[in-house]
Amino acid sequence: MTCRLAPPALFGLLLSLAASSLFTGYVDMSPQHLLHGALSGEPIPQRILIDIRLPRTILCLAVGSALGLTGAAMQGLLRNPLAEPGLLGVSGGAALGAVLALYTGFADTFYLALPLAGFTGTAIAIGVVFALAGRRTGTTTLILAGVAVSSLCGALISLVLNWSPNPTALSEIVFWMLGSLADRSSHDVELALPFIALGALLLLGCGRGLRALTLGEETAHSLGVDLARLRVRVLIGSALAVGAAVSVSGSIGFIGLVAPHLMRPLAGGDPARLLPLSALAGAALLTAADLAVRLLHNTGPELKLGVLTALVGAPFFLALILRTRQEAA
Amino acid sequence: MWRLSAGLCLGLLISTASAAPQRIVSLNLCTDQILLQLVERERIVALSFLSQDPFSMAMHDAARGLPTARGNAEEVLALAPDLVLVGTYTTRHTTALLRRFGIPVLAVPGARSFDEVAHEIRIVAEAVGEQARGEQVIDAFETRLAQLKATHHEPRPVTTQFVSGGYSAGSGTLYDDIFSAAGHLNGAARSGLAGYGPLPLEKLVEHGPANLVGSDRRQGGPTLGNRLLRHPAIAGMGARELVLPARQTICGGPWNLDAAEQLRVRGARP
Repeated sequence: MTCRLAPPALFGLLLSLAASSLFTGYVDMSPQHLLHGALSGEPIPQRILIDIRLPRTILCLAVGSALGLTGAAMQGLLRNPLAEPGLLGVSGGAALGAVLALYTGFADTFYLALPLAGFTGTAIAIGVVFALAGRRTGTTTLILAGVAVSSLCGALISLVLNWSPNPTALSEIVFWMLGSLADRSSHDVELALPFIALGALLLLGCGRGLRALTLGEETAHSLGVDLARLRVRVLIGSALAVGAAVSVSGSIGFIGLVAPHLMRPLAGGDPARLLPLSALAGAALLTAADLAVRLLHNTGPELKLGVLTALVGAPFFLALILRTRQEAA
Repeated sequence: MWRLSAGLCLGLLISTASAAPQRIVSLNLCTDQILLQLVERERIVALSFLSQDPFSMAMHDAARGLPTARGNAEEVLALAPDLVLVGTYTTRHTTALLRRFGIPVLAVPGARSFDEVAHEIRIVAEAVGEQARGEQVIDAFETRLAQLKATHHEPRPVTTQFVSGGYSAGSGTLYDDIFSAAGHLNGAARSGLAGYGPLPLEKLVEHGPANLVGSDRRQGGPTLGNRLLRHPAIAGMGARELVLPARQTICGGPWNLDAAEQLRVRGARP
């Protein structure tokens, strides 16, 4: 019963979060004034609502759902509840690409240079993971290849920080890595959304394969699931979705890890149902976190979105583990 | 024991009274420039390594040819200075180490207003024994500032600094005084920003400045620079974008008035 009510309830929550996100910001302006002003073409409310808050809200929903969905797919594919979107080097590659773009000044050449560099980084990282793990090897090799590529990306980012010639570039790189959706524009939405949607479609189609996989690799194989193809599909799907997401938002942790865990009781152990539920939960979590970032803003530097998700996410995740352990005992 | 310490005190008094420092080292870009305005080149043993950089240093012509120091303690000790000028936040460990070796160190905080510029010129002038010259420099600055202020028009245009990552300069910054010397209002200060810090795009759009002062960093090294200025919300505002040279805005001094003069001439009216 609760299972059937969950998706509409989540949708309702998501809608109200999205609406609050449109009417919360750094300038105190009532929703009526904003809406009326934007519709009647008054420049200030129009710019604030349409050019600043709308792209931010859309990106919250899109990036959050990309992270939640990818987290669920990774946990399903690797059959490991600790798997998260960045495990196979996807976010590391995007971060390295973006950091290199900041370091070389490429990021300043045209508006979308920064996210495009993130894309390229993801593509290269995923290519290397594939080359290392191959098509026919087991899950462990895949994870190890992913971990190796992730740590290499981390090391290269540190190297770039180490060599950074000026303090402004240094602080930009560090702040970019903390993750934020502040002041993004419709250009970022136009760039990221198609890739996130494409990746999400690929991942949502993996439900049947992942469901068979819960019974073990051999059983899945005997049920006619091509494991190598499933793996390629999940990898490409997450590279598209998370690569695009990280490229516009910077690194945002824990959403991809926590969202599937939150939804698992509602999905009844069925990965095919867990995938869309996790996407919804991820979107709701990230929008709520970004709302909190704006509500907590006073003067001075804004708390970065990625910092908040990690600060809240880690204890939350711990509580979740403790509760599961109590239930099991 | 007391006799020994009294003797030491006496010795110190004699040395400060008899001779102003003759081997001065400066380890900070801003103290480099204060020093160059006050003493003859012969008394300068070394300036900071940034002093040779025309991008950050307004007085790079005056600094050319003078030796530079990176700012580590060994290097400074080897120069055997009798006064070391440092910034308050830069080379913190070096400062502590030099003091332990008994070298006089004067820490000068960065100026956040024209009043502080004058104050810093005074304390450095006193330390190097050039009080009269310090007052001359301050007087020249104030005369020029008064001349600039005589050219102001009402209503004043709103000008906002907006650089990489959405940072801006509010009240209590050199920019605030530079804008006001140019006869402009500082938009970031009106939006409630105190000091240097992030200015949310929404607030920028709300106060809608006539002039946007971007970053000069692009020539100096790669950063996001003015990427955010291409955001549709800013592009739609129709503000005039200008760049004030970094060397005229990093440190406090007469060159700040050059920046104000440029803003006055090139900035858009409201």
